[in-house]
Amino acid sequence: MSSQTDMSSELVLEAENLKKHFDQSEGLLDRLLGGGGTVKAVDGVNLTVRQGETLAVVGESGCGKSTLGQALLNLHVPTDGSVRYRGEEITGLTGDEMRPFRRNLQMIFQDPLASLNPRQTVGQIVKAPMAVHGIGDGEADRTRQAEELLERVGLKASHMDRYPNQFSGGQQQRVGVARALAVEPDLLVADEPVSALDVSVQAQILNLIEELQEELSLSILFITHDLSVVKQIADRVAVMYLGEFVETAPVDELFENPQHPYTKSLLSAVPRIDPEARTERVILEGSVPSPINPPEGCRFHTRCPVIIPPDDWPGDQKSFRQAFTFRVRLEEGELEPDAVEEQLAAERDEVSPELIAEHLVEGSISGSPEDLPSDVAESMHETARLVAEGENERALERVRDRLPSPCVADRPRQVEVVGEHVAACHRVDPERPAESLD
Amino acid sequence: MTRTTSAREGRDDTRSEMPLLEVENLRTQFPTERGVVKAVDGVDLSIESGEIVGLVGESGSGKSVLAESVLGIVENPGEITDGSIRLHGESLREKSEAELQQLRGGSLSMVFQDPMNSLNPTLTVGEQIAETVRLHQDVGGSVSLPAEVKRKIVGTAKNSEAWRRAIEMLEAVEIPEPEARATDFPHQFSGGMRQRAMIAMALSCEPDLLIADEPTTALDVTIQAQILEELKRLKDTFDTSILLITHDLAVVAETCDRVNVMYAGKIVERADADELFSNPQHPYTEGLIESTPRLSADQQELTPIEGNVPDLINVPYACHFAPRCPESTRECFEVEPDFRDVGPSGERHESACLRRGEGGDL
Repeated sequence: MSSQTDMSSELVLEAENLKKHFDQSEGLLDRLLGGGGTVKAVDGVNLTVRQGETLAVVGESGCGKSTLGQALLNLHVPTDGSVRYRGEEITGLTGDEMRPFRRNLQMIFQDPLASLNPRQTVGQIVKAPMAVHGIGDGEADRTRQAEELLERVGLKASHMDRYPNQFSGGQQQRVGVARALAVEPDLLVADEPVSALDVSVQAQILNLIEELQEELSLSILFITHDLSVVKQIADRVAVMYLGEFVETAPVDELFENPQHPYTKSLLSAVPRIDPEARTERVILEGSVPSPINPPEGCRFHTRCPVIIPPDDWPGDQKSFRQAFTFRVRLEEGELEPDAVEEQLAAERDEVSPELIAEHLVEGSISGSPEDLPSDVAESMHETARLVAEGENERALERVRDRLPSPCVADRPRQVEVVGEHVAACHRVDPERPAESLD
Repeated sequence: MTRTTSAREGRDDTRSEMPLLEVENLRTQFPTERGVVKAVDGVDLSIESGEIVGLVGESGSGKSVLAESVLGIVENPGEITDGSIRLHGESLREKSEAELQQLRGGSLSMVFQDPMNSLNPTLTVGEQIAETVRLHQDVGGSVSLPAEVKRKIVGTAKNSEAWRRAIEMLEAVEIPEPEARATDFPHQFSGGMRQRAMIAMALSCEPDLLIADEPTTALDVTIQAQILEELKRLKDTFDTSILLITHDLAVVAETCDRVNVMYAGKIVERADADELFSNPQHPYTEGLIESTPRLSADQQELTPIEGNVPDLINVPYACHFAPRCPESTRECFEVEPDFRDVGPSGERHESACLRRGEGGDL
């Protein structure tokens, strides 16, 4: 390891405004007309990983956490931003230029069997990266080192000649770990390394990773969807939603004092064994929006239970959330007057746009429209009527005008809560006072 | 929701005296080239009316095969070699395939892990639910082959009872805009919505027992929370018993009334959920709980269970957990463990471990 002692030697990996977008357009026509759209898988992420620490990136499927891991290792060429390894820029390096860095930056994958060559013995798998990076004095020395490694990860030296499919899932993952460690890396990116394993085996691998980290002073970027695992293994946590970090904090701080509403609902959704540990569950509405054209402002606003109402909102926050769901559905093109009309027509003789509008409103908000402030309910009904008459543009204009929110208008900035605890939510921003809840 | 209240309120009480489902000494085996795999090896399981029973175990414990055995859908060459399965006191093993088919999707229904593989990709969601309703409930509408083929081409009449019921069910599982969503194909649904649609279909005929095999394993945790809430709510609304099969202890702890822990083809411990998790008595259950990462702050270290799940061919030792068990003695390898009461008096808490309960030395 490096013997430098200044602060920069502490930082192993740094990413600044890292972006990875995937172009979905197919063919020339799409490109000329701008069709197809762009998946913003990673959209402006800043992170640091220090010597010997584990940074966990947690998020639901589709939030971009795996793409982030790959972009950091230059397996995807980033669209924008930069990645530095111990101060050296590695963004956009070619395969050859990247090679010396690869020795220091290794990866462990989710599916151990799929990431091991089925035609190579475990010995070959572990020795191959050593040969590439010129580790060891010849074949015999490499074999000896590989045997030691296998024993170190809880396998036997006699396993050298076996094939991956002769092992159980947990043992395969141990081989994956041995292969990554074969080149004595500095930083490991572990992408859901225990998600495919049974819980008793998962604990074995988690403990192994922790032991090795201590022994080798490894830095780890641990990507997972499982908050319980995060709690077990991480020093710091970054919560990711739709390509962005919404909250970053030291692990205990995050679990004890979560600030972002997404983190809170994610935490509350984790099932718990101990009845005392259960908290009131915040059930989120709907599912994660598409990363093609993600929502404006705060990306979580479409599902956020504590979205901020406009200053002149006549009702309480709860009624705003209820009404706002109507706007979300309309924006996402989920209101289908034709289907409603067809169904109504099958059930009765006469169908008026009035009736369709009524149905659209009832079907798209939770609870009854009667719980809303009366002029809001009325305005919503009129908007739904516009939808029923096919005037979608006007309906959208109207709903945006009637149901605005600072959470849609402005992107929340990263606000420091305490120390290293940072969250991106208007509600934690002291410069944007929002009426508190309750 | 109010439109779909249970029609079974006036059910006679004589039935409730016997368990809804009673499985006794069930054995299901798969002959293979290397020997016979005893996937389910002498299992007893009972489910009372209106309760959620958990069946928890790691992969390869035989929990899914147990479910398939109850449903009569064990894949070839597997077969049930011994034991009895009774639903409402009637033996399912003696029923013909046609009778079983009438039961499945009717009073006995199921939800699987991967909703995309269990929904028909070529039919709209509403169509599939309506078909189930027509096949199992007398809602008018012929189910003859020509009539069904015609429907597959032109679609179910939107004013038919079956279609209305499909929309009601989608509404019951809280799919927004059910009229519009009913005409969507499964690929147009998100993962969580597909699983909701599967549940809607499974519940459309008001089953007495719903078998849910890893229903939330493929879903994100926020969606999982939605689906589990949904299952609990639907249990109350439809008065359906649920057998919830999962590997996730925390899901079981939060959702189930009673829990069965399965290991290598056998049930090793059963108790009420609260009792089981506060006072686990089988070393395997203890090991599982100790190795599960938890959010509660008091947990410092994970204690994994050493070793791996055994191959279920010719397990040469009596207690299947003995080689991995930190407490095992020579006796454990030689003497078949029997079920013993291990909880405080009054609790139905049994564990199959020689070292626990009366006669145990711990």
